[in-house]
Amino acid sequence: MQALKIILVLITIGCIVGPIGAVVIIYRNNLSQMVITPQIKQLTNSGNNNSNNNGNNNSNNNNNGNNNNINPNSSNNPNNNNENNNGSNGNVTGNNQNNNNSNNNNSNNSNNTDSSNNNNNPSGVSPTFLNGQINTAQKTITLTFSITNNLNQDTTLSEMSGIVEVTNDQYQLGTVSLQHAPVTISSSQTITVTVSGALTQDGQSHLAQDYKGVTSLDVTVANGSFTEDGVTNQSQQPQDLGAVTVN
Amino acid sequence: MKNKINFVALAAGISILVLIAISLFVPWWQFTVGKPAIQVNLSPVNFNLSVNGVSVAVPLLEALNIACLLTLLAGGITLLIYSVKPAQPYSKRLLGFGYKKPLYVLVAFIVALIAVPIALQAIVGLALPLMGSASITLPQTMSNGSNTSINVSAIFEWPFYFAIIATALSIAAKLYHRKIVADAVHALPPAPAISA
Repeated sequence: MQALKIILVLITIGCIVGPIGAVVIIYRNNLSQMVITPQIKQLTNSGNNNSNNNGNNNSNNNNNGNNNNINPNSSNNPNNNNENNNGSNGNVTGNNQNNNNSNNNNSNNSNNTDSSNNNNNPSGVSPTFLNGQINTAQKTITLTFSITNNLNQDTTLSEMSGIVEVTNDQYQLGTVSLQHAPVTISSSQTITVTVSGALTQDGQSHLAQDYKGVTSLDVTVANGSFTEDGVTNQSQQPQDLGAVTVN
Repeated sequence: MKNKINFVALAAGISILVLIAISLFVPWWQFTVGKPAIQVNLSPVNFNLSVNGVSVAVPLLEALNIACLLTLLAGGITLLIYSVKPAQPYSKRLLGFGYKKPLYVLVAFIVALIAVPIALQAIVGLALPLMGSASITLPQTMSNGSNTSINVSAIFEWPFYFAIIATALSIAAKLYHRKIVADAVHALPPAPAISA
């Protein structure tokens, strides 16, 4: 009886201590990796890149809009991720400089696995502004975005909207929203989506009075909202898209 | 008495072993973020975290899963052994060992499930539902200044309820053991009178 008692106690202890002890021994050199594995670190970094990508679309869009230099693969570029990691906003040159710095930082602080992750699964889904048009005759605002799905699975874009404003005076021209929603984007696929809406009567009058004869106008999107796979991201700051065509 | 079987313990032992097998494949609790950007499938013997289609392993949780699996396995086997020999001198000890194991695992699972959302709420201000759907807004520190709201849903799957049944059977086996012992005492022949 006493032997049985001892055996049962040993089984109880062994069932719990055995597996946990084995993991502790395996990871004895770096116990934090028992919970925060390199894989989780990569995903966390990737998530940060994603958030920063969304936040920094402004600068990308601005560059594209002003220079007509569209780079739909920008989110696939690991350097671009590093740029976004750095949280840089502003002009192209400034970003490039920061980019180099952050590359160096990444080289110093991250291991090779992290770097490869940035290449393979960089940053989720983020829209890049391609071009836009304000048609005063038809009273329409049309914006075209390129969206790349860098995830390992298909994703569904169910909503994308915002209020289009004139950048100079922040005058609201109208609200745009995603046409033909929802849109499914396959993994690693890049698609072009159009968001459009009506140019308000006030907006039309404002353009006729203050921007008569203008063929290109810098616009900003306020309250930009982007819903992907049930995750809604709403920008606090207006997103400067750059120039759109006015006709 | 010698051939009597504790059928409740037998049912408890079998249901525990079945529970282990089921729980390896079907989670007790499922938590989904987005559609689904993140999916957590959780049971005491299996943890599966998938982020954007990428499966993520957490060694410590895997160790805890194995610990729970071994604990349940020991409890189930012990109950089975006890159930066919309930009147042996060692049987009560086997029963005492076996019936508590699913109870411990179930209680630990529930406590962990309640504690983690409370901790998250306290630390990062995220209120995650234990059951049902909700739209949660990420703190701005986590979303780089933008307002990010996420649809999340949580659900207890049927193995969780099956685990409650298995645990209840284990406790019932303990109670039924008293009846078996009481019956055995009544069935004993009267002690012979001692004459001087």
